[in-house]
Amino acid sequence: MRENIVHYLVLLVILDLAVATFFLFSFNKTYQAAVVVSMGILYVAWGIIHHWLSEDFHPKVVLEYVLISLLANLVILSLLFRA
Amino acid sequence: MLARLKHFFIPSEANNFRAKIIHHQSLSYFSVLFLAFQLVLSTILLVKPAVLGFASQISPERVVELTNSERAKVGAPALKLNSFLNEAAQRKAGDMFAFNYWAHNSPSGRDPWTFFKEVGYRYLFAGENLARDFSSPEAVVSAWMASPTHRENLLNPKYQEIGISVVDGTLGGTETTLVVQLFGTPVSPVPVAQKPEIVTPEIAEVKEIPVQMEVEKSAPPLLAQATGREKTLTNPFLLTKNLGTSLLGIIVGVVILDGAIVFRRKTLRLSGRSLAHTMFLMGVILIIILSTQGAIL
Repeated sequence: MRENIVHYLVLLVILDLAVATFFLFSFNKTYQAAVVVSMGILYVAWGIIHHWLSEDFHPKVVLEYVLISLLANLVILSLLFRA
Repeated sequence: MLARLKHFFIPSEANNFRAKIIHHQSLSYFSVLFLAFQLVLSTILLVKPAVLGFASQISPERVVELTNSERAKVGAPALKLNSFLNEAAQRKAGDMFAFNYWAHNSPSGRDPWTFFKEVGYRYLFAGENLARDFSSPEAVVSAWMASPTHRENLLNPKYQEIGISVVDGTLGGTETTLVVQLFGTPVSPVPVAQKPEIVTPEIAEVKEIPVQMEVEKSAPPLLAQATGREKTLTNPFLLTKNLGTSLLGIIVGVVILDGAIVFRRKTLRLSGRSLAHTMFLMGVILIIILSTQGAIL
């Protein structure tokens, strides 16, 4: 349980940093795109490590993280492209 | 009908104990549909550019006022509005629309200083900021202030005068509002009584006088002078923002509902963590909601 809390705290820090950095680079869309892509990759990496350590790792689970990350990236990058 | 809805939103045996909306297949469909929507938007922009776009009412005077307000905060002298610089800014905006580019230098190699010279503004120092598609003068100046290079230009104490142009037009197939902000310090007091359009001997002299230039490399988008056109455009940015927020909002809602039901029923299944998905998607939705339109250069 305590292990899980640490995992979620790490995820929270990753997401907080990503959101803050995204707005810090509001003047440069290339940097913002890089932040969004990095956030997606880190999220998938978090999922892999978390499930590996929780001993319920399976490629189908990784695919779920990839698909959610992909959809999120599509929406934000489209928005950046349209802005 | 109700059973169908439950199939999409509530985990049960029929959907393998996972709401159908967050199945791999559904998530893939959402991505493909969203991509298709973007392609349709882009096609409409190419075929019927007047249907989609962005236009706003930005007062050039307000941009000057806000610029001077920011300068006052750091003790820089207030900039005086100069009609020659206004004309140069207007010409730059017109050039960007005419040759369909969004850059400090035109595709044919005309740099920002060309327009200073065209109107006969002889400068010791000069700078350019560009902006496009912002909804208000406050948003434009805030964006410039957030960028180190534009901020440096805007607060540079060496500048004495300013020119602003806000122009609506079509750029890259999209209705756009451009803002051009030019800074300058004249070599000598500028003959403001003269009309910028009039070619004067001073203009001819400019080309031969070596001038010291301090240049901000990136130009911001032009803010167009209000043209009085009807603002009935559908904004692609807002369409994308609303669709994205709705789509991810529905998914995060289903993830929470699905996670709560599975937790309460103590269902054992192999899947990603609902809490992690919720945290990630909330972060993404926050980014989308707080994103504003507009670009600077």
